[in-house]
Amino acid sequence: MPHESKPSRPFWRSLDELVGTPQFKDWATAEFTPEALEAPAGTSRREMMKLAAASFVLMTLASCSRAPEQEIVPHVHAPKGRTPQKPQFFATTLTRGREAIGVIVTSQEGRPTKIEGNPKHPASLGATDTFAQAEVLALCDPDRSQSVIRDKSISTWDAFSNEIMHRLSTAGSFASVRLLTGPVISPSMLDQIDRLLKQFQGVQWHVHEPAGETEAAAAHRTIFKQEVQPSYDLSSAKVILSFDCDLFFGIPGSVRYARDFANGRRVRSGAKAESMNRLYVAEPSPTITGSKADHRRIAKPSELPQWIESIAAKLGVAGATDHDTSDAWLNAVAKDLQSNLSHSLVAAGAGLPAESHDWVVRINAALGSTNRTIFYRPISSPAHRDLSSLTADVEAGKVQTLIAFEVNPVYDSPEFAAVLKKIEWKAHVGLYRDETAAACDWHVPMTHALESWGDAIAYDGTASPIQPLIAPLYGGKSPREVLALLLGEPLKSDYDLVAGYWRGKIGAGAFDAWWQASLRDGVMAKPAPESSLGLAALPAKSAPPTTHPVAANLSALQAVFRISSSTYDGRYANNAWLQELPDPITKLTWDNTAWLSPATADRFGLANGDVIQIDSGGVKIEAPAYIVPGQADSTVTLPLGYGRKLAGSLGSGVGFNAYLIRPRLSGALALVTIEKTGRTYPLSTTQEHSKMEGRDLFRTVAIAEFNEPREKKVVSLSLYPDRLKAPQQWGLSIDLTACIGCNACAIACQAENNIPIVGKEEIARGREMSWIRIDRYFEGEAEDPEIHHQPVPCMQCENAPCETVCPVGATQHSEDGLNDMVYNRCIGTRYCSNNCPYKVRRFNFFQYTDIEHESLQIQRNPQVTVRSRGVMEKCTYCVQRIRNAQIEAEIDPTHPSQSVADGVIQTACQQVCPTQAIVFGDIWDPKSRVVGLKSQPHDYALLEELNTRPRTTYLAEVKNPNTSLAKGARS
Amino acid sequence: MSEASFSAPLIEPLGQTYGSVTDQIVGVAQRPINRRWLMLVGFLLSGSMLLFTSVAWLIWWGVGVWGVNIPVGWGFAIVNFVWWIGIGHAGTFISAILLLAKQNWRNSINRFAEAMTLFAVAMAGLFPLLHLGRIQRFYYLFPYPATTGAWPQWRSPLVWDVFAVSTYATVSMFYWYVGLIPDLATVRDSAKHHWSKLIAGTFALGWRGESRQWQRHQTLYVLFAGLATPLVISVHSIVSLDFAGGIVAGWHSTIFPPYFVAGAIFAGFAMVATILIPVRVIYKMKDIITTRHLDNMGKIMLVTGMFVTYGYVTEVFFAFFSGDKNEIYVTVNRMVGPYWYIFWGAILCNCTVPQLLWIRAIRINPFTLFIVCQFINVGMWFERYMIVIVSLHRDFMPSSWGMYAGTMWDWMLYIGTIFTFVLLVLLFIRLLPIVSIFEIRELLHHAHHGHDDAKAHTEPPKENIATNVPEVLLMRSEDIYGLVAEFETSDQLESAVRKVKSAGYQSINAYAPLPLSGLTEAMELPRSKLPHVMLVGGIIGGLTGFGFQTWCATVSYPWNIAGKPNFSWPAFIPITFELTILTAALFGLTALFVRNRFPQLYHPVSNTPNFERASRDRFFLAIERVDAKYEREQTRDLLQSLSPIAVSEVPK
Repeated sequence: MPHESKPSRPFWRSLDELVGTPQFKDWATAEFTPEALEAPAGTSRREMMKLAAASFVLMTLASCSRAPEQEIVPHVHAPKGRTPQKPQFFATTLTRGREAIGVIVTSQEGRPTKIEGNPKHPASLGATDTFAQAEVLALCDPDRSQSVIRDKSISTWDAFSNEIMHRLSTAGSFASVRLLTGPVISPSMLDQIDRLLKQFQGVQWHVHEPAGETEAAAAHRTIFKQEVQPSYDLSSAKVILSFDCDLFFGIPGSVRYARDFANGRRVRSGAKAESMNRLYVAEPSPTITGSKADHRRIAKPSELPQWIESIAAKLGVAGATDHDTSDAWLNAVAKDLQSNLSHSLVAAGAGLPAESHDWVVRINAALGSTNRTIFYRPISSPAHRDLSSLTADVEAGKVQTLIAFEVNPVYDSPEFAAVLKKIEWKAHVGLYRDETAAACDWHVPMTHALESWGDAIAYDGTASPIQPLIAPLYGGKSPREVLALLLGEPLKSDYDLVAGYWRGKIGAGAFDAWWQASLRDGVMAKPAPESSLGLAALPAKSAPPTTHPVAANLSALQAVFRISSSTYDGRYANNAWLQELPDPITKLTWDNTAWLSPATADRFGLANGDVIQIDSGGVKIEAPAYIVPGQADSTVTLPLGYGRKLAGSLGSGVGFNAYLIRPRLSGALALVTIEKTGRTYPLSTTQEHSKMEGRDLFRTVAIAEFNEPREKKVVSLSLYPDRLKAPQQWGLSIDLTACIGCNACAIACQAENNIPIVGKEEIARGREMSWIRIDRYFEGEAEDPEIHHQPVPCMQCENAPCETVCPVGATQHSEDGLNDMVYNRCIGTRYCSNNCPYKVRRFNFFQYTDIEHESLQIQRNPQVTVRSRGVMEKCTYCVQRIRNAQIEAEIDPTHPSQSVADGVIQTACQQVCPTQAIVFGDIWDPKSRVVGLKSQPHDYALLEELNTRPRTTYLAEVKNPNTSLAKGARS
Repeated sequence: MSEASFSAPLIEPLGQTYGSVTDQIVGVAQRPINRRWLMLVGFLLSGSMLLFTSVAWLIWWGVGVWGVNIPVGWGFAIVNFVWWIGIGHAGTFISAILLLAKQNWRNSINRFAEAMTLFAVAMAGLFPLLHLGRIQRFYYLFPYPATTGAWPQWRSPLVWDVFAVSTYATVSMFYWYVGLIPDLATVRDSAKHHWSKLIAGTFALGWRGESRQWQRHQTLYVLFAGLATPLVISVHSIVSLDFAGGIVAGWHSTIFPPYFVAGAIFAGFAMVATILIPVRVIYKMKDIITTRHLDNMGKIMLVTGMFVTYGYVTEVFFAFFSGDKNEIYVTVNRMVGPYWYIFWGAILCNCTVPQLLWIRAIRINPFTLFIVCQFINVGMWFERYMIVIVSLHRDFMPSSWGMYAGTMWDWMLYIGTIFTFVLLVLLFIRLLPIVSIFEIRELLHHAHHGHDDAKAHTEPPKENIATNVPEVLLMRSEDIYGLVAEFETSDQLESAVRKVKSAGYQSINAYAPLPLSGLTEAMELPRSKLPHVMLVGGIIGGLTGFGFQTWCATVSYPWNIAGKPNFSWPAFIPITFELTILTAALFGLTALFVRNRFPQLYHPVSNTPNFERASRDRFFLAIERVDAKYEREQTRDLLQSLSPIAVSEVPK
């Protein structure tokens, strides 16, 4: 090989160089010395090596160009109080609308992986709802907005702040500047807004809450002459009457309400009927609250205001007329309420008109419930107006500048899109680049609640801090920082703003200790919540009683709008866990549907999935019909929160947007006509069959028969000696009386155990992955059925049929009675699933776990194997928690027996359960809670005749029917 | 059973000879390749691409490309597995059980049915492998010293299945191959092309039709039949335990093993007839596969079909008799549930239509029989669909009920296996004698023996008795293997052997194209030791199997399976049984190889002129030079006196 050689062909680095574009030449001159640009002519091999070495060094240097600005020090010695691989726990608060729920977040090596309720927080008491569970996924959603956007191109925070400051300084009148936010329950942010409104006189603040209780608020404003937040105390309520109020879902305090309600129903051996509360629900469309009612009555929306007034009349409320004197149900309910004065409660849902909410306040006053079971807490907040007044101002040309925080009116208030265009300059701050962000000039990515500091006031007035678990993943600014910018405090961090506010409140001297305690506990000890307003003098009824006009047109249906169990008001549309979470009533995933009663569907000749056109005064939308037993005839329920256009890669285009035909006034009766289109739409449900087929899978007993002697349990026989030897044997008890079917356990399990989502098509093919599913059965006539919820995790059978048939021993029994699954050994014959009578095993038919998106990986629980394609999986009783507790017990020098004390281990489903329906423990410890439950007379095993000896057993649902209301009186 | 009870002849017309049947059967494989055949192979080959494509797709994406789900964890794969393995039962049934029952009409169809068995088992074997979620870990099913120390879980019917199906495939292949060896020699000797001679000769292992070879061959063949009979019954019994071993209502049934075995034979005969009827027409083999064969196959289908019907009735009866609500539901759901057409389709195809086989005219008419067979082929697929899928889709928890439908990839794979199967059968027809020639010769021999033996033999010899001397005379004596006489009939050979024996010769070998019991007697051969070898092998296999399972489950890696004792001996029986059979067969085959000195691709006797007819229609007697009494002239005179066609001095 000749040492001296000239390349015979010219080499080129890029097409640009080949073509010789001026851009390339400019770039090359800027980047390299002219000599470096020359091809290395006449280079010897030795020189070549030198060059290679030099370029390697240069390359290394180049990659170091982003050296940290400050000196960083590796921790050779671990910081105090931190053990690698051991999770840490931080208390914080998650908010949604007016709901604030205290949580404790598990942090694994600095990554928030799991959310638990904060036992010290009144809205949680250790439990959470489904939405709070899904926040860890929302945090690492790869579709979250990641950069400041100006007119569809990437910009910077500095550019934004310069422009906004310039705009504020040149604004002629601040009256043309508006803030638009959701409901604000953060004291520090309210303070900021207050200061802003004062600093820039004329700026107006608009609050928009698509799923809010605007009618109730209006009624309360009229009565109390100020804004109040009603809250309930179900623990002291013996008789509860709900008019279409879903107490256990979606309203502030619902997790706590569920707990209090369940506590009033936990009957144990020997209990009397008086020890149990009673729930009456009148509603047009089944809810989880309605499904727990002792007497559920189906009502059209048009009937409810009249019934409320009739109840008021029967209870002697002044000015009320009894429209239904002979209605047995209302009479019995009124009598029951009356005989439990000051221990009863009447609640009304957000869909009812202000008029009805007015009556409900008066009824509760008449019952002596005010400040006993119902409280009206005053809210202090700067003056604000709503979205419709903003719309009016824009139309009047009064608005030139709008800054919207965390709201999406372009989506949820369809007429607003046109309005927004008329505003000269508008900016949006939010987690996603959603419909409203796309319609604004500026978009600023917002930090997630787990990335920022803050504070919040819970349903009952308790204040709690929000602290970040992780530095912002995608950059982003909190609304507080944006407000600080407007206030001319651009350098203040989130922390400065929040802590500064509270320092002012508490006083600098006491602050540090108070702040530490608040952060540690997740609850602020001071200031005490403002006490509820008394009702010394109710203003007399002024307006004449109004009732809804009853639909004259037979083909017109009354529409009922509900927040979605999955997307709430639409904000969680891109949250895969929630989208895949089956609706508690329909068990549908990845879609919303128009709910129709069987008779109504029959009348229109509709089957599940038939697409109907819904016409509301000329506005037409299309939706798939779904037959829901227990739905009122001639009504159609339309869940909100779907049909998003710019939700993200998962949520866009899922379902239909019911906001398009929702009346602007939430209490107004909406009449729609429906028409069959002849097309069908595929729907994905996790439960195709809703009848029990005469099998006693879900058992119910009336309290009156609860203590009657009953048949002896099936004695399980075995030819073989018991071979379980470990000192502690695990078991689970699920109380069906307490279970409200809220799905929290399912999503908690998903978060804890790295359960993948599979998508709509796979659900349709029967391939959902949930380790604990909530079976929903309809019992009785389809028109007015009993609705049952039954959580089904792995039964951990002692004689597990799955184990015998596995050819490779991939599933076998542990010493402490767990049915273990060895993923690495599994070859995927699926025989175990076939042979599982409970069908709790789940199979990875494809590579379901998303291993591509890095951000999703930070959420995964490092203590649980991430499963690959082709292996079976199932509930493990959260074996990682059991083993952790056992290791802790074993290394604990103060612990004599090395066994884990009762209650130390909580499965994920148990921990999250708002009603504490699930109890885990050692079934060989006679003093454990689980043994106490399993020895109850109403304890039973699912399919016990198969002699699988399940470790999971159920407590039959105990109902407390009003004896004066025969079953037939329910209609 | 007397011959008179079968009035119809087994071979038509009566004038067939050893030579003519040989030519006819070998001729099928040696016909020139024509365009029609190539087109057919091309078509089947492209059809079999469905198999390869769908397997590639499956492996790339995962088992989710199929329609399986929860609750229906087993779909087409298991349906097709049971269907194919059922079809794969006819061959061994025909070969083994009918052999033991001395149903010699089987001789014309057994080879074909055995080959079909192998191909059907190959197709069947694909499915359990492919249906695994992690195909790449299939070897966990086999006992191998893993680094984890774990062994298969011996209580699982799926492990039994692995052993049963692989034993069945292995033993069936041995059985088929052992039966094929003499015919491979025939192919070798009549091959026109060098390569086919070489290949057939290699696989014939040096078969010469020598009386000792025949004796061992026949002993082993009958013993293999004895092994294969319980094996064939065990295989489908074990397959049925895949279901009966589960607790799923509709599966958990004690009737399953016999009912599955009957169904397998039912389906197997239907498929044999399905393939055989067109082959019989295309290759003009009506003489060999006669109407009596069709008649008998029809009768067997009728009888086994009645067994299957009885199984259906029993299932329904016991569902209601048990009073178990799940069993009752499953039964009613089969009849009136969403898959009602599967149940009633099975009833129509498997119970109703086969009743036509009561009519002899339908049985012996190839066309009508073919139609009935198609009903059975489809009906048995329906039956497996009903058992596997319709039982699973609605089991104990109504909340988990679901539906199942095969996807495009399910269908492609299934249809692909059918194409591949037919392609393999077609290649088999081209390459190997599809009818057992030596057994046809036996049929001829038995048909004519006692009447006119010569009829079974060839046309008169073209050359007169002659001694092929010239160059041999020049040979040195140590270069000579011996003297070989060629005879025309078996009787001549037998009497010649007797005479030569009585003359005191010891190193003599007699060669015949078919096994002759008279020759064995004349040769005064001692009884073969093969049975003892196989007994020892079986005992070793059984004890090892049971012991190994016990050791794994109690000592090496005990684990708690559903609270059952580690020493769950009843669960160890199926594999113990399978290993007994497998090891016995392996020992038997090994003994055959060792004793016959297989492979022995050269033997001096093949230098005998005309010796290639030893595998066709001639009989030879060789006296080796090493015999103490061997004297060139005297021995030749002795042989000449036995009225041979020719006597040759054969060089080494």
